[in-house]
Amino acid sequence: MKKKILVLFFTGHLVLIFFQAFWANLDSYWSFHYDETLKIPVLSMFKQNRYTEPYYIFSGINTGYGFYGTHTSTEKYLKIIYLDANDKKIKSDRYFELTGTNAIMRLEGYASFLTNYVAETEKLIELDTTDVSDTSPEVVKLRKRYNYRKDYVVKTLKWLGKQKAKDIPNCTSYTVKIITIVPENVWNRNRNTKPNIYVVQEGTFPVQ
Amino acid sequence: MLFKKVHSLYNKLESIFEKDGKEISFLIFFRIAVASIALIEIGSLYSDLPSLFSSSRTLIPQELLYLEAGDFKYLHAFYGFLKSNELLDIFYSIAVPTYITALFCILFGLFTRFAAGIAVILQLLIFKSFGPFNYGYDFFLTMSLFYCMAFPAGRFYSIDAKIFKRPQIVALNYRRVIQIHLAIAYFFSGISKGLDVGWWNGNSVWKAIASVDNSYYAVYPLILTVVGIGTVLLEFSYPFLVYYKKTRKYVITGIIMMHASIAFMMELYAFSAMMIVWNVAAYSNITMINKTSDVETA
Repeated sequence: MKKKILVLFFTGHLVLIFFQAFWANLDSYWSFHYDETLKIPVLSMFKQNRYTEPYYIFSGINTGYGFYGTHTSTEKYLKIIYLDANDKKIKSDRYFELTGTNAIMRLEGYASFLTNYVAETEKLIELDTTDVSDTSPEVVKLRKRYNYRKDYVVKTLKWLGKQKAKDIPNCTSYTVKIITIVPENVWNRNRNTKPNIYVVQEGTFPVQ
Repeated sequence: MLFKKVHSLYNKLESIFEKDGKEISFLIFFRIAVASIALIEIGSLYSDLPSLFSSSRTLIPQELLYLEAGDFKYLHAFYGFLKSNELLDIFYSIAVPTYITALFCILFGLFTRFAAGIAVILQLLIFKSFGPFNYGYDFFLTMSLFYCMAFPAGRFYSIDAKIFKRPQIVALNYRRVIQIHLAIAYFFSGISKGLDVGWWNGNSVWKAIASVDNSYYAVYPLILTVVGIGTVLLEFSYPFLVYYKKTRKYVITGIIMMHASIAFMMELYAFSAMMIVWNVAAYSNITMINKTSDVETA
């Protein structure tokens, strides 16, 4: 009996993994090429929903498998510049006092998360094509959503330097930047030149 | 009639998990390797951990860190409960030491299932609290700890074996679960990459490895293209090539080389180590451990 339960449990577990992987692929492809979320009623029963979610999270199979590697992105990182009263640079830092490779690599992941967040927010802003005077519930909801997201990024950037800036003598303000390597076609670029970088978003904040 | 069909279907399923004589060495290796990697990883993060997980020293407030994570509703309720009962400081001070203790228990096989259950819950609570700083390794660690709990991983070559003296047998081939899990993951990874034109012309590989801190941006486009196409084909064909004995060692060697390259070029050491452990656990013959288990099971 115990063996039967185990066989059925692991079979069910593997079926869920299959559906999660299948769905992650299909959904990613569909939303990238057709810019909309895919809905297939029968398959939706197996994907992560409010009934299956606790099991997906607890067993760790709720991953979109980062290493699937669809639409790989370039390196992203954060940079902080501490400024004096004349807006002259006192010092700059990319690692926010983190010392280990593990944490620094995770920080790059966070920069990537923020870049995607900014890009998705810009997409939402683009959806708002109506006049400012339009106060229909959908438009108000959309504006609330993207304004919240804009605030979230600004707050995050502000917090990233807040504590350290206080400890630096003569520092009156600081700038935090999200920077990305600009994607290039490897067949056209000059192989030996350093990659171009682009500031996705930046914010300058006074030391409080 | 229906009963017969169900019975026959079940028999087919059971045959998938048929024991092959290597399940004991697999369980020992998997448990020790997973716990070791998790301990090394948390050790390498330990000095920086307060910047990501603490009551007041995080880079940005903990709430902002998990606010936009998928697990917000669970974490918000959990932290709300701790806050209302003034348990927040206690949680922050005991979570990581308890997690590390649980990992040591898994390593030595002491109350292994219980320790793995505690470890998986704490790993989720700790690491999801800085969700946007998570990456593939964290998911694979959750899965690995879950498997340490679901499999009888502490039954052999462990303190549990000395204390409980349970029969040294296993019900089924747990190794098959890892083998099928890997086959699904690589197959879909191959399809996913194959649908992205960047993996066929070298651009995706360049994006993945080019950094302002190294000179990988100068790698020849032809090499990038070969690596990209090789990765797509290797991952896509993994389930088929690993199924046949003749091609198995070549595809496993290829996959291990791929993960080793990822470790050194992208500095994803823990992730690569975990993936290599899964592949070795799933397909290798660990003869030294087999001898030990043979002695124990005699």
